[in-house]
Amino acid sequence: MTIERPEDRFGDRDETLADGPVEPAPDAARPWLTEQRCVHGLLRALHTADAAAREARVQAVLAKIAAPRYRVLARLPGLAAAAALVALGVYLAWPDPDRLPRAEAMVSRALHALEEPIDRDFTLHVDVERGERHIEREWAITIRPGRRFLVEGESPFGRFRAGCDGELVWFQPMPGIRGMDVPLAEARRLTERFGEVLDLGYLDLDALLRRLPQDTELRCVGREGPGIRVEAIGTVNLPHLALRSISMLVDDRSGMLSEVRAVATGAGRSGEVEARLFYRHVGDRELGEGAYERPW
Amino acid sequence: MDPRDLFEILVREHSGMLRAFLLSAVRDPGTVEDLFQETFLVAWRNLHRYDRQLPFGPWVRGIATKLMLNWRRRLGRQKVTFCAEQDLQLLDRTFERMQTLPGDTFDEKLDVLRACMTSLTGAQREAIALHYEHGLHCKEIAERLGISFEAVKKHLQRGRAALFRCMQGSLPPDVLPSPAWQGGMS
Repeated sequence: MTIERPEDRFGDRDETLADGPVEPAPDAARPWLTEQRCVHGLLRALHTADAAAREARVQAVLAKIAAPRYRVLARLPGLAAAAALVALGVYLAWPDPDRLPRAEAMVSRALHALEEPIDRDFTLHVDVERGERHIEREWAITIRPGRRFLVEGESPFGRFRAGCDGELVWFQPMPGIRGMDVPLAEARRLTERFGEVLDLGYLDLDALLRRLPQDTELRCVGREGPGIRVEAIGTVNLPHLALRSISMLVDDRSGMLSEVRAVATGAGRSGEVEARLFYRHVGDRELGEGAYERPW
Repeated sequence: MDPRDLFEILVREHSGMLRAFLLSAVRDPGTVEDLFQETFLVAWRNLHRYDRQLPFGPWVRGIATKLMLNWRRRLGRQKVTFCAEQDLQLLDRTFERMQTLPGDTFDEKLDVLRACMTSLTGAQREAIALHYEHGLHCKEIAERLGISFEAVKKHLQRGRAALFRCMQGSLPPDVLPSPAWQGGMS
């Protein structure tokens, strides 16, 4: 005799494994579907439980409740008392409106802003010191969530373009020709061939920001116009360079990075190389994900 | 003490389980993140309504449930695939029991789930790893393992049922069985 199991009877009503909505489940299926859903949620949480993302989530919540709209609510009658009850009677003080926000919260807000599905344009000024030589470069950088970025600038061969569509990193030394590409995981093979100061570690701003709370000590040092200056004390080791003296200006209203300054150092082919990087946010566009694909 | 500091403690303590609850009911990861943020913001705005005699976890899950239903109405089921409305209450009660798993932090509670993976058959463990750890769809798993789509679904469903039973076995004896067992279906 064959025993019919719940998955045989109700398996098709399991939305967690379906491509879209399924037929409504009968009442008899609900307990089984509930246990399936519960474990499904726990397994998803288990495999996306990295500490950096968890901290960014918490900081994003804290940054939002610090915003004026929510701070006003802390003055509503009753809330202070209720919050005190939550804290088992601890006295509550009003937040100081002139106090600087937490540096981690500002980084978290910047990350949150970069997660919006639009294309952010930056200029990246690179100032390289190599022994007696001094070289300056300026590149146009566009980034989009999902490890997508474009880099454009002048090279000895003409105007080059490079980019990443989230999976493939490509380089086109001049317009109209077929360039080179490698999977993202092997990007170093490509970048090493194009100078000693090009490192995907700082082109991927999103990934760089995620590392800051772990790799550095963050602090807010003051207000500059509509922005708040955040400094990261410590070193972030990138694939072949090390970043230090990282200083960011984060717009207090939008959370967007207005500028990033850093010093990148590393061992070049002809000795120690030091580059000063200066990112400046110049605007936003709607290019779409297709713009980041290899042009050939 | 700043009320935000107090609230931060609650957010940190409950963020893991709340996120798992949302992940169990909403497919789209972006929507889960939005709902997670919105849930805590609504909790902050309504903190004066929270009854301190009751645990905080079910209260925020209640907020999350209402927000999920609002999103569902706003975006339509086709776009984001939400858990059916009548199932959310059952799910909430099941998560309430999961909250009593051994461990002070959510990570420690997940250790129970990790340990329970050893109770699975090889095929179940492989299907679960490919689906949840490597993000493969059932069709891709079927191709990789050379088995049918339906067989992959069965491995996943039976594996999840086994994990649920195993975790239930780790609950303190005074915790009532989940509604999922009351019909004796597992």
